[in-house]
Amino acid sequence: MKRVLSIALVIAMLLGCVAALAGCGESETAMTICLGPVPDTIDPALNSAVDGASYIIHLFSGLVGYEQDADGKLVLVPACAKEIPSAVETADGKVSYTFVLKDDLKWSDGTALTAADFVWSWNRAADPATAADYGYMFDVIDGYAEMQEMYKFKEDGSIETDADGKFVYVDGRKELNVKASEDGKSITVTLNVDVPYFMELLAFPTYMPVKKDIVEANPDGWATKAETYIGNGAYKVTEFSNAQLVLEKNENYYDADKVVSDKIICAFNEDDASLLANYKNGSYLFIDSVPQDEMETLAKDYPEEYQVVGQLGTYYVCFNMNDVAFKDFSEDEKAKIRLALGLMIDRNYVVEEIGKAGQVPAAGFVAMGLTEPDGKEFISKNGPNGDGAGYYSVDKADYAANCDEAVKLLEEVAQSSGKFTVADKKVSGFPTITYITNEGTGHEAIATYLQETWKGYGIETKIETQEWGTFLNTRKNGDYSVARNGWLGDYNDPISFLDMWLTASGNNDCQFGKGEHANFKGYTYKGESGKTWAESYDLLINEIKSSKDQNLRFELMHDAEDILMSTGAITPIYYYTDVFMCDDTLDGFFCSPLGYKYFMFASVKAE
Amino acid sequence: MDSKMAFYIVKRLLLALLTVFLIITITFFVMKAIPGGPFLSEKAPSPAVTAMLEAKYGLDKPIMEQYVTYLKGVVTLDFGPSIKQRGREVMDLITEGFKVSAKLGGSAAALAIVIGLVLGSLAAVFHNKWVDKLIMVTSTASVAMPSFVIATLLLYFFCIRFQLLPANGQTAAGLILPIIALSLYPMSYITRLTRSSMLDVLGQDYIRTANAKGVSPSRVLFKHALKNAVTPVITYAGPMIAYILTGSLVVERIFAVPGLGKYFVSSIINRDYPMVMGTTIFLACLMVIMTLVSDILYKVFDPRVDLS
Repeated sequence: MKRVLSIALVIAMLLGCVAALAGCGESETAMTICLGPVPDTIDPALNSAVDGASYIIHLFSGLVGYEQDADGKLVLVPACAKEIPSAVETADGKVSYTFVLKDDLKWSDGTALTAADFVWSWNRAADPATAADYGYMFDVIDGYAEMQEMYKFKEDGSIETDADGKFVYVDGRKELNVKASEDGKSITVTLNVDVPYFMELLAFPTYMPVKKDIVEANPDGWATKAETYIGNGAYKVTEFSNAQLVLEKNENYYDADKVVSDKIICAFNEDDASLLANYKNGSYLFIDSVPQDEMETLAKDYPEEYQVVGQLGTYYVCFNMNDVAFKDFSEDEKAKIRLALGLMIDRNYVVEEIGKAGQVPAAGFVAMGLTEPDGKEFISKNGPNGDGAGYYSVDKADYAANCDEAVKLLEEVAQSSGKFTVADKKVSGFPTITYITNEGTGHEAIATYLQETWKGYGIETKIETQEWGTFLNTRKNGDYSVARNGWLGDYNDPISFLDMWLTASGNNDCQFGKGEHANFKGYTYKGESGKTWAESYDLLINEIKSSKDQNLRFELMHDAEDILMSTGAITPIYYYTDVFMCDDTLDGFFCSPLGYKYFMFASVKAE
Repeated sequence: MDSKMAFYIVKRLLLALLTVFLIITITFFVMKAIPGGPFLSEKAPSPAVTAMLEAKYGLDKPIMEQYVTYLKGVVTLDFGPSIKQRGREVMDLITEGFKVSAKLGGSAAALAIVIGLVLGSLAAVFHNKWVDKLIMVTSTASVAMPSFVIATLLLYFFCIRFQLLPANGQTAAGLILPIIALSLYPMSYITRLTRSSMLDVLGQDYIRTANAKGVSPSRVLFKHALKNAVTPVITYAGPMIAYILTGSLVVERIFAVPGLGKYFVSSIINRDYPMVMGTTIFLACLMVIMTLVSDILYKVFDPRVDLS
């Protein structure tokens, strides 16, 4: 009896499989790709993740968007706007842009999309009550600052509510200085200062329009269901489950004729090994990450499909400015110690033997891929001399010299402090360093490398591996000595790497200008020395943010990086690369330095 | 007899409620004691955004107040929204994941029990013969091998090397390998349990009597012996089913099955408090129910068992 049952069960399962396989036949222009696990959100205002952004750019269209030109270069093109306007100076010294919308723009449900939709969406995203991670992307627009202050805030930073649970305003509602024309065909945006990256911001997911009635009906849940997920992009959502996001061509998209594939299935999968298995057996045509230990083999076996592209980001080691282990040293001595520890690192070794994904050894904090007003790369002018030599040499030939320099710095500190001694390139009596990292093969391998390297000079390092949530908390609160860190820029402007080190920034993991360090007067601002962090770096960043002169802005940004690097608290290791596998039958795919993947013009070639 | 059974069930259900309450309380406070919070990330949101979000999810309130609010929610079956997956209800996420995991786990559990019982009985009947030895070697190996090793091997051979089956559980065919990977361990365990208790039973007098009276061997085995040999399997199967139905992190991850398994770990890593509570309560309830069911099954299989 039981045997019969088990045989029946096996037969039933096999039948099920056959049925399922038969059901797998899809239309010819469908493709399955995988960009990661289930996204946290695909609400354009709330999203701050790269995978989420990749979905959003297919489902929404901003005023401006990206396309690939004939040479394969990424170019900004008008999207919902008819053309990219030029700036007009306003009477009060501000700058305004007027965008004329394309005719007959529609939402994916067929209703009309007007300029007012943009105005409403931007105000929603910038409203403190929306609590959007990227709400600050609107800070270039006039009125943003007033908007942030429009509510009555409680002491803990949350907004006061009245008896009905409504938010209490200080002096009525404030809005961004963005106006829709009466006919709904044009939008005028006023900026405090003309920033060169404004057009890029307009192509950013946070600036995409969302449909007011849909969002208001279900502010939290509208973006979680296919039925209420209304967009205006090349595709619309027809299924959104824990397994996949199915995108189908949006016939109401203004450029629907250019969209090639009828259907894109975005499978959700978070396991690198599983991603690769699905790629190898042809289930997925594109995977956005690969197992680290397979990279070398893949590069060899799939030379055309294994792709490494630049990404706006830096992997670095950060030091706590108020580290208790070094409290007996003066600020100058601490800086020298940090710089020395940084110089001892062989970045080429880390990249070639540990990273193995084509990363580029970093000689500065601001990543490669950012452009100056003259079209050159920002890093081509970095370093104390502004010659692109960086803050130390990452040339293989110069590594020995870097190490000598490091020893020299330590000798100076040994002499001035008398707290340890240096003999025969080895220190003794040096405090033990504690290095914290989160779990991850690469991170832990780098930690071990640092431990070994520093041990070569007699410096003991204790590695502490922490679970992700705890790690973030420890680092943010400054309860550490030395930590691994990484940063990905939000847009193509170096300020995205520099404003995070403002004293009050939530990402100021080095604790610049906080605690003891707040009183240290060792920085120079506009040629005047003896300034604290708040009087130098913070002022410099604020000046950059409010400056109209592009050349001056970039000059000041280099100055800011100089200050940052002089502390030694930031030790860049490498510039990130984006590694993915793209099937050679996939034609017309491209990606941006922010890591966004574009499939709307991609199609599967017939073999 | 029936009223005694009913009384027993009611008593056990009340005890179960107390157990779940204790689990909720302990989990709630231990969870809040872990450092970190749900809004931390490599890119920290501004303090203003964090404060707004904390207020939105009630995390700004004193911990006792949060606890009471949460308990009130649980009573009305409102487990709140997930903090990590914005706009989604914990209840919906668990239901959606459980549908997948239960289908997978249910098939795996059924497969494990049926085949385990059959193989275990065979091994006992052919005690010390090659059939027994073969079954024991295979089952020992499967018990010793962790599921990620089995899953990876299956993935490599069936999906990459021979490309016979899909490597993701998004289609029915894709569920075959995860079912096998999930069922191997309990199957082998049940095989070993059945074998040893069957050996014990087969040596008893009443079996000898049945054999002597000329009852057919298969009837002796399945009707008389198995019924008595199955008790340890029931003890094991109860909690096993609860675990297997709620999904396996490893197997679901390797085969890209959108089940419940991942939430048990990811919710803690992300400090998604409502999700941590939801998954814990769900597993606790299922566990308590399955234990009760297996206790009642004892009675059904062995009337000598006194439930009180």
